[in-house]
Amino acid sequence: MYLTLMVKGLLRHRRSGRRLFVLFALCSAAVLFFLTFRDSFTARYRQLAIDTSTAHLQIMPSDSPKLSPDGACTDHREAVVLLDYTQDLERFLRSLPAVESVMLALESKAAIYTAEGEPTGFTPAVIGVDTLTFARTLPGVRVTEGEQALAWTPSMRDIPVFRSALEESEIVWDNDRFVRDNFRLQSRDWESFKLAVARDMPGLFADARGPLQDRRFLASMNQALDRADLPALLPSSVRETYDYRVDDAVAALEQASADPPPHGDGERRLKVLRKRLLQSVYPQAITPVRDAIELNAPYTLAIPSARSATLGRPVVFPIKMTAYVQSVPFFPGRYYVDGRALRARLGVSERQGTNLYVRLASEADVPAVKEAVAGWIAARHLPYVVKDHQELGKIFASTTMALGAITSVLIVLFVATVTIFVVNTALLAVVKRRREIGTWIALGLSPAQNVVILCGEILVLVLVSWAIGSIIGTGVILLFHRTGMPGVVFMPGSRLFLDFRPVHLAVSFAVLFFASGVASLVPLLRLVRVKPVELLKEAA
Amino acid sequence: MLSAKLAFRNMLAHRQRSRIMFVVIGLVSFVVFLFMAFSDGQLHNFKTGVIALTDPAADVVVSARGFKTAAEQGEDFRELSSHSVEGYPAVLRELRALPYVKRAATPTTPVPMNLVAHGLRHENFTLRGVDPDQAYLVREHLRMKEGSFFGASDEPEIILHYKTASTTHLRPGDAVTLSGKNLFGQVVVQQARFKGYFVGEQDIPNLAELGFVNMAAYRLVSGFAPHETLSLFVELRPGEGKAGAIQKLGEWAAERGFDLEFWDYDRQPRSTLRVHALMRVYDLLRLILQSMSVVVLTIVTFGIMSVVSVNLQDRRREIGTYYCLGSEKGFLIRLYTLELLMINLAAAVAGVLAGLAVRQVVQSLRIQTEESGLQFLFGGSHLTMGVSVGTVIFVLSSIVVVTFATAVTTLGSRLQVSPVAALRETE
Repeated sequence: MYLTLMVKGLLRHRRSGRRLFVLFALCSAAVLFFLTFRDSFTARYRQLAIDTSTAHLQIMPSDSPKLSPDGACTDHREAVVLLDYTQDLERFLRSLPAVESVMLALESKAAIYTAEGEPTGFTPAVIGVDTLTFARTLPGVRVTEGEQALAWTPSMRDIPVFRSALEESEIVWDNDRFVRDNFRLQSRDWESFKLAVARDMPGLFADARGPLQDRRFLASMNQALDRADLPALLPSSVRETYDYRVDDAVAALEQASADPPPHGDGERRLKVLRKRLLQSVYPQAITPVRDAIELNAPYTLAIPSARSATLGRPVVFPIKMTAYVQSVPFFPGRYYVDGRALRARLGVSERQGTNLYVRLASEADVPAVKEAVAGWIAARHLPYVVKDHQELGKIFASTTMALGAITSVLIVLFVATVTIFVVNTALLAVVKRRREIGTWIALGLSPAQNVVILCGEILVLVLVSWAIGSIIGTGVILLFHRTGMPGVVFMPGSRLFLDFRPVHLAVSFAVLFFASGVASLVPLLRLVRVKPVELLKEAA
Repeated sequence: MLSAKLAFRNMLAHRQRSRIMFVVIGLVSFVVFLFMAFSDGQLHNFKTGVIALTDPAADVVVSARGFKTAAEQGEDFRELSSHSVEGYPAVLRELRALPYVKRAATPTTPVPMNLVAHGLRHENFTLRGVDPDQAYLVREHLRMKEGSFFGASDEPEIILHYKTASTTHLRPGDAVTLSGKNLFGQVVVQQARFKGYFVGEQDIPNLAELGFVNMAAYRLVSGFAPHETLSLFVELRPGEGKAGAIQKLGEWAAERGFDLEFWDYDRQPRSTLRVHALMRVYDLLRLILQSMSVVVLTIVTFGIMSVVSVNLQDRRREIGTYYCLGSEKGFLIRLYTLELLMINLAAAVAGVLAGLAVRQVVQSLRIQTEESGLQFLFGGSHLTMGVSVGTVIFVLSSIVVVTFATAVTTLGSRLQVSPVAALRETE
C-alpha cells in the first residue's frame, strides 16, 4: 500500500519536481565524479612521484646532501657523499620478500653546457642508474620521445642521457623560422632593410618590386630557411669578404648537411643553422639565434668529483640527450645516465653510490620494510639512514593536499545543496498537500503513516535521481578513464586518467541518501504534531 | 522604475518562499568566495612576500632608450646591458621628488654564484645586491635569524637564507669565497664576510638558494660599473593613472635631458618579465578553482529553476491580476527578473560578507608554518585569505549569469497565465 501511494504521489506531482530531479541527478553525478577525481589524483600523483622520483624507500649516508633541511628543493653542497652497497646489505635486502628491486644510484647536481660552452640555464640532478634494474625500480621514467637505449659502452664518444620532458619555460620558440620580433629595426630603417635584403639576394625575392609587405618579406625569409643552396644565394660581397661569423655559420651548416643526425629533427636543425647564417650576414638587424634544448645535440656535463671533505675539481664529459622521459610536471631537471659511465669517470667502485632506491611490491609494505632496514642499519652502527617516499616526496604533497581539500569542499557543498533542496521539497509537501494529507487521514491513515509516505516519496526521488546521476557520473569517469581528463596540468601530458571504484558509488549513495533522509524527516515530523482535526478542517 | 518598485515589494511580500533560493545562493557564493580568497591569498603572499623580496613594487618601468625593444627581441644579456641606465642614484633622487611618484627603486639583476666555505664548495646561489639607499625595501620583507644586516662597511658582505646553515656551517664573521662568472662572462673569485642568516617574512623553500650581498660585493660579482643598472621601478601614488604618469614621466625626462623610456610594468617584454615559475602554478590553481565554481553554479542553477518554477506556479493569481490590470508579458518578465536578481544579489552579497567574516577570523589567527609542502600551498609561510575586486566581481557576475539563465528558462512558460485564472481562483 505504501509503495502504491508513493508512486501515485510522485506521478501526480512529476511536473513540479522535474528540475529538482535534474538537480539531484547532477549533484549525485558531481559527488561521484569529485570523489573519483580526488582519489584518482591523490593515488596517481603519489604513484607518479614514487615511480619517477623517490621509489618506495631510499637508503643514503646520514650526511647526504639529499637530506638538506626539510627536503627543500635546493641543496648547495657540491660533494658527492657515498655509501657502500656491501654484499651483506644486498643479501639482507634480497631476503625481504616485499622488496621487488633495488637500484644503486650515483646522484649529483651537475651543470650542462651546449657545444658552444653556454650553460643551458639551470642545474639539474644527474642520476647514474643501473640499467638492468632501472626500469623495474623507477617504472614511471618512460621514454616519451627519442631512443630507448641508455646503456653505455666504453667505445662511445658521447654518453647517452635521458632527460625529463621539457617544461614550457625551457622551450626556445621560433629559432627555426623568422618572425617580426627577430628584427631589431623599426619604421624607415625596417623598410630600407627589407629592400636591401631583396636587392642583396634576388634569388629569394625574384618578384620583389617596390616596397615589400611584412608578411611577404617574412614568407620569403622563411622560404630561404628551406633552401639547401642558401650559402650560394648570399650576396657576393659577403662571400668574397672574410667574416668569421659568416665563415663559422657556413662551416656549421656544411657539417650538419654532410653529416645529418639520424634523428628526424635533422631538417629542423638545418633550418636553425640557416637562420644563424642569415643572422651572421645581418648581425645589426637580426637578433641572435638561441639554441634550443634538443635531442641528439652535443652537450657537456660537469659534475663534482666524488670526494666528500675536500674541494674537488669537477669532472667534465661529453653527453648526448637521446630521449625525453616522463617526470612530475613542474619539477623538471632530472637527467638519467648509465651509472657505469659516471663511475668510470668519477673513479667510484661498482659497489659505491649516493643512494639505494628500493621498490616494494606494495605501498602497504613500506612501514614494515622501513623498520626492518632501519633496525639492520642500527644493529651494524652504519652511518646510513632510510627514508620513505612520504619523507622524500614532501614537496609533491602540497599539490595533492590542495586539490584534495578543494574537491572535499565541493563534495560537502553538493551534499549541502541536495540537503537544502530536500528540506524545501519536504516543506512544500507539508504546506501544499495538506488537503491531500487530510483526505488520507480521513480514510484512516495516521500522521506517522503520512510521514512515512511523504518521506518515502522523497527518498524514491533521491534514489532514482542518484541512480541516473550515477550512470551519468560513471559514464564520464569511464570516458576519462579511457581518454584522460584534460587540463590537469599537474599530471604528465596534462591528463588525469580516472579510476572507477564501486566504493565511490556506495559512498555517494550512503551520503546523499542519509543526508536526504534526515533532511526530509525534520519538516515532515511536524505532521505528527499537527492535530488530525485541523487537517480535516482544511480538507473540508 | 515601476517594475523595480514592484519587484522590491514582491520580494518582501514573498520572502518566505524566496528563503530557499537565498540560502542556496548565499552558500554557493560563500564557498566560491572562500575559494577565490584562498587563491588571492596565495598570490598576495607570493607577490608581496616572495617576489617583493627581490623586486620592488612597480607600476612603471624606467630604462635607457632601446632597452625595451632589445628585450622584446629576446636579446642576450650583453646586448641588453648596452642599454643600461648610468648614474642611476641621481635619476632615482629626481624621480622620488616627483609629486605623483610614491617610491622609486632599482631591482638588482640576479647573479648565479658558487660559494666556498670551510673548504667545501656550495653551488647554485643566486645573489642580489642591496643598495644602502633602498635597503629598507629588502628589510620590509625579511628579518635576520642570526647575525646582523649590512652596515656601512666598504668590505664585501653576504647574508644567506637560514636553511643553508646546516650545510654551510657558517657563523657570522666567517670568510667565504664567491666564485663563478659575472653577468658579462668574466670569471670572478671574491672574498666576502658572512654577516648572518635571514628568513623571509613570507618564506618558501625556493628562497634557500637566495643570497644578498652589499653593493661592494655586488659590483664585483655582477660586473656592473658603479651606479649602473638595467632598469628602475617606479611605484605611483594611489589614484595616479599609469598612462598619464608615463606621459608625464616622458615630459619630465625630456625636460631634464635624460634619454630614458617608460612603460607599464604589467606590459613588460616576456624576456624581462620577472615572473616566477611558481606563479604559473598559482595561476593554474586559480583557474581550476574558477572552473570548479562554474560547475557548482551550473548544477545549482537547476535547483534555482525548480524553486522559481514552483514559486510562480503558486503566484498564478498574482500574475493573472497583473494581466487584468493591463500589464504586458514583457513588463512581467522584467518585473520577475528584477525580483530574482534582487534576491540573488542580496544572497550573493550575504555570502560574500560571510566569506569576509571568515577571512577576518583566519587572518586574526595568524596561522603560519615552516613545513615545505604547506609553504608551497600557501604561497608563503602564512595562511592568508586575500580579497580582491576581481574575486567580488567574479562571485557577483556568476550569480547574475545564474539569475538570467533561470529567468530565460523559467519565466517564459510560467507567465503564460490567463487573466481569467486570477478571477477563478479568487472566487
